[in-house]
Amino acid sequence: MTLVVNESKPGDRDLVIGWLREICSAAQVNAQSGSVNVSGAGPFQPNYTSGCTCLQTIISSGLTVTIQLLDGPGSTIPNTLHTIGSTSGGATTVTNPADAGKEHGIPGVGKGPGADMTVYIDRSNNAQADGRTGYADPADPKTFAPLWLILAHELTTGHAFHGIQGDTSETRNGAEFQAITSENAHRAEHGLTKRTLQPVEMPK
Amino acid sequence: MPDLKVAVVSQQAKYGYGEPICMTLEVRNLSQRRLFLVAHRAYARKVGARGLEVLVGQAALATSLYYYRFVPPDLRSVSPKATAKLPISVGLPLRESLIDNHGIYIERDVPLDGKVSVAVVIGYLLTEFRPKTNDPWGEFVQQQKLFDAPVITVNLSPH
Repeated sequence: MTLVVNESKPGDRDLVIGWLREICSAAQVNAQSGSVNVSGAGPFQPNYTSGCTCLQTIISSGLTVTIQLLDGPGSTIPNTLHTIGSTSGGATTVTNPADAGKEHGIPGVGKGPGADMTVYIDRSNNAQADGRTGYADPADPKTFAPLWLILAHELTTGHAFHGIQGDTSETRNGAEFQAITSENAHRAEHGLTKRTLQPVEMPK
Repeated sequence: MPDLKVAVVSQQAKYGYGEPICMTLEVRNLSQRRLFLVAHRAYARKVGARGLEVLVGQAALATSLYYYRFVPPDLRSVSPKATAKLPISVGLPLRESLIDNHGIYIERDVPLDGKVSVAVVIGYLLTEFRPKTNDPWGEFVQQQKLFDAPVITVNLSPH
């Protein structure tokens, strides 16, 4: 169906389009509907393309991925006990709890049916009472991970992409391997240090 | 023989609406080895009509929820036969969140008042935490042991 950005607060779509253009420079968001497309006319300088194919796959799929911003690190992720701060600013879940499990592949068979997915991002970038912001970069905890990179981990070839494809790894170790592998491709395009990946035996 | 003996002491028997429940957990290490208490991570949720469950530990990830990065909670080392005192406070009213039909994120209060049972669960590890996989959250929860403290009762005023 589509990739859509919810406008819980004025300006959310502008924020997200700025992040999406770090993933795919041709990304655009319809101001009324929030639908994302990747048909923006270039030339772009710089021209980031590492996420374009993935975004197009999400947009063309029969399922919906929603990007939802939350107020701050203490905001709870709906239907869970967890705050967005506890996931370091980004989290992805099936949109409808009744669809839990549909995001996984079926061992010995292949892909599962997939599920609508929602990506949550902390719009405040971990804003603290003393004015500090930022989530430590897993690849270099002395620096901060940009929010677009957190979104990329969750979205493009990350958790949401695999969720709608129905091929999220059965193990959490494998699911994180999938998302970190994707994140590292975006890091490479931006010249950022890659995250450490532990080898995983993926089911055939 | 359990590893821990725990006393839960509430600062007050009755709390006004909106007042946090302030408790001290007195945790004695009964084992012959050093233990590592989860010191700075807690979750609280309403259970049934008059119950409050407090996990002083790391909660497992919700089903079908995926994360960006896991930061392990601080651990407090407790020597054999030693006692640690952990002050905790539970902010009230509890809050829950949802996305409404218009795609708007909403947080709302979870009503809880009257004579409320408070069940505290304490998380601890037998060794320091050194993650080895891409899923440190899962590793932590797998290594974490849980201890059910004695249930206490407090009175919470209605709104």
